[in-house]
Amino acid sequence: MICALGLEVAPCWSQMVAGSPGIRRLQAVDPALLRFSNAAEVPGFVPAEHFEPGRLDLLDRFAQFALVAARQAVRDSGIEFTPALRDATAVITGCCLGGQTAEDAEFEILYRQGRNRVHPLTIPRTMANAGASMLSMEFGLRGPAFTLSTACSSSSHAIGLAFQMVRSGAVELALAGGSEAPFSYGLLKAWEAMRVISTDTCRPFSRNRTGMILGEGAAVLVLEPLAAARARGARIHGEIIGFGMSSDAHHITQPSAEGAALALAAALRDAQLAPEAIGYINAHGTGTLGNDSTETRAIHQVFGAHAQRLAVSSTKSLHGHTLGAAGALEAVATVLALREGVLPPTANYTEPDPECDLDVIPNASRPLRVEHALSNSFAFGGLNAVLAFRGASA
Amino acid sequence: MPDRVADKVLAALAAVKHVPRESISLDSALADLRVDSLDTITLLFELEEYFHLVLPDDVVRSLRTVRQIVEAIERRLAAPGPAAEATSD
Repeated sequence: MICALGLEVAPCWSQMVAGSPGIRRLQAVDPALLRFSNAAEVPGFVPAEHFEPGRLDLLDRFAQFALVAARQAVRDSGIEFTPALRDATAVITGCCLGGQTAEDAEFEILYRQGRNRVHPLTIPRTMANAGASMLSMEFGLRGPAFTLSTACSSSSHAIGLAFQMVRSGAVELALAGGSEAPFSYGLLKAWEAMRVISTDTCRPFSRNRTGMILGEGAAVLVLEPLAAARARGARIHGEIIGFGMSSDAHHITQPSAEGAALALAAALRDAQLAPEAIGYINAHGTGTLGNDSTETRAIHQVFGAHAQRLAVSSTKSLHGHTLGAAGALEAVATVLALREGVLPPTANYTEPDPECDLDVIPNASRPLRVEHALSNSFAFGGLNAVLAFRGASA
Repeated sequence: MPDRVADKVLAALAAVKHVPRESISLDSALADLRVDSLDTITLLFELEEYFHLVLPDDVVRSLRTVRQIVEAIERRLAAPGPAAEATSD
């Protein structure tokens, strides 16, 4: 895991528990050129400390993040790849945008500098599947490898599909997650024009919320059957027990409570859980007016009276909205919440909103051991993915 | 100036919604015209480009009628600050 909260899982989790957001003044682009000035960038990331110069030539920032996160995950898993296991391991990454940094730099050469050629490695740097390809090459993994792009649900879809493939026996192991590095001038202008970026900070579920804060980073999980993990004595952080997907079939950007509710219900059904079994939901919680009230309605629709009893928080208030990486970062946050018995807060919360009448764990994390949790991802385009988790000790 | 702003807003909104300009009045509610969030940002993009101004997001979020758009632009044009000259097209 790498994000605005830190370069490793431990510092990221500490910052989450402390409720200390990684939202700062934008560095990658001059904020004077934009209508917003704050972002959740990865602090102190020095690519040369992670990659040889020859390797870096091929890697956009989003692929660098994917590799850094995957190395951490594989190291932590203690997995030893045999030739047979390498051939039976899948790599599924989520990515919304591909190599924006490289693309913007090369197009600037064409359009602004007036030159008529770009760097010959522009395509391998920018292709959205670079993360999956680089992971498969890094570890010599020759099973199925591909990238899903479903906007802000990308890495939840990636993890969910990897979960299904491991559960079905289609593969023995999977590396699944996602990465994003969206801080290019052209893309930030496009987000500015959408009028969904806060000029202040990200305040999910707060009445005075004014939009999202963009973030960057990556997270990768190592997935294997529970029995296999136990047999090899692995340190098991948590268990994925269900996955639900749906499509709004409604509007290209406005969310639908009905679509989100379908995905929530599908995840519960797949996990064979009653709504009352869920103690915590890591919400999509972007901090936009539209998402947070719609997500609240969806939770009420599916959970009924239990919606007032379960805890909900948006860690996007801490690590920003990392788009194609969001589902993976939030899956890690959810697993750690179950493992540690601490629910991360919704930071920057100042004012209750009657349209978001949930227990949103305002500002301070909550020591509370829950047995089951969900992680929501509801993307532009109406593409919804919900993962269901159980703590490792359950 | 006010008539010119109103004329431009009505024309731009008619173009965004692909409806006859005569079907829209200053008192039309944006919701009644089925102006959704994407229509709004597209309309405001056109108007900001034309009038060379910027309407803050919180102002845009408060707009409910065509007249409120016109008034928001007029207020911005009257305010001291960067360029407030319309383009000639």
